[in-house]
Amino acid sequence: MLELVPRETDSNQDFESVQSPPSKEELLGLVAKGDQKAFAALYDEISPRVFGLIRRLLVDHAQSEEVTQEVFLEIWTNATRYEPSKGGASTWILTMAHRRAVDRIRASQAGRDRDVKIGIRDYVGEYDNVSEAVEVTIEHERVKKAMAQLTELQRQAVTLAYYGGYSHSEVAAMLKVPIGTVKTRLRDGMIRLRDELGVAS
Amino acid sequence: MTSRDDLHLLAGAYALGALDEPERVDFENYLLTSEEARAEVATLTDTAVMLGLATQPIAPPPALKASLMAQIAITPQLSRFDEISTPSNVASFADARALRAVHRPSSKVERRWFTRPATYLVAAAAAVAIFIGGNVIQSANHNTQIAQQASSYTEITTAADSQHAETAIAGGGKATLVWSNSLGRSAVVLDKLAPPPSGKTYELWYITGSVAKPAGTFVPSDNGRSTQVLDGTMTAGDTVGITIEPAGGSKTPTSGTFISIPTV
Repeated sequence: MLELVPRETDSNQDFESVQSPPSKEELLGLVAKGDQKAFAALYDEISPRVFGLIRRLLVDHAQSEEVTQEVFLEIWTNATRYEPSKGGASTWILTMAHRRAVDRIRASQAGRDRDVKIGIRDYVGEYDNVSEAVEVTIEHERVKKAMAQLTELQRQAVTLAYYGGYSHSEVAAMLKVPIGTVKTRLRDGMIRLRDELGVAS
Repeated sequence: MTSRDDLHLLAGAYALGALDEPERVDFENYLLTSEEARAEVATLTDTAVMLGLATQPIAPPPALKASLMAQIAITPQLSRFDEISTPSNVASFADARALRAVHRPSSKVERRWFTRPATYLVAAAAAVAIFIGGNVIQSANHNTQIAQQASSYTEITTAADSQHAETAIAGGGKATLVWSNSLGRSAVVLDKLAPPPSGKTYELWYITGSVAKPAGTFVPSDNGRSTQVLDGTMTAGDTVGITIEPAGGSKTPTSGTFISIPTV
């Protein structure tokens, strides 16, 4: 089949003709060569994870769309920098997505200062309700169980930092504990989660 | 805030994206000087990604894709050799990731943090040997295998056709199989699995009809949890079996399947 594919220099790597679908790493490799069809395929596979995570942090739908768009543009421009030997494509992409969402939160700090004053109770309560309501994925179930192994302070600190996008000083203010304590709890909480989840083994 | 002891405490906050900008720059400079810190940050970043995967996936509106496709058509890509203009969390994570190879982190990270480098290397080497012992093929490049094992699990669980099934383990505990037919790969997540009898190991199998292909051996971690990506290629419809075998593993099962999970 012949078709025009603009900007694609290596058209013999037509991934659609391969029997099993290409991995995300292979897709990223093609994206790095300017392959727009590979980009579309990668987007179809991973965008619900990216958008879901960003929505979780930003809540606001319109802002979440904007940041998702930024992340995928960054994937397009930076795909040349991705090295499969250094980790999976999903890890690379989700780490980038979390970071961009946090950047957006920090950029609209005014609203956050008010949140910090209100305190943590409402936030954590809301998180627990949401987690009951969502569809249970395997990761969701595993993370929930692993979270249950943390102390209350560890769990609150990790939750506020990761899902709330709060900095450690904001977390310290919300939990009314010294900043040094928050740093330590974030680290030992993450180490505990890592071991509970069996990451890296 | 500039002492190394203080800086190393920031690994958790860094992996969670909870550092302020100046502290992040300090910490990334510190990472350049500490292999232990890089190894720890690599595993904690993976852990943070697991937190990300635990959120509910939501399909973005179709208009977003259309808009992006139009944008990329006119957006140039970075060349492979350009300097990255700002230090990037992602880039340093990727660098750190490579180093995981040398130091497989374990639950002992905290204890061994302050040990002398020589002791640390011995401890890390032992950890690698335990992990590799009897597992996978002993190739010259263990390091790559370990990095791949960790990332493959994420790939399997995030594949578009990822599925999972669980079964109770006789005597307590739970085994969950995650697989993707398109990748032809699977992983088992074991919870509360008792250690195998002395001199024995657990072995994984892909069972197609009545033929069992070995897919790696393993010993669960001290807390009874284990995540194992199976060796080899899965065929759609395979059953994954686990048997107890003599240390080192067997070419064909020598005992009845202790756990079996069909993938249909």
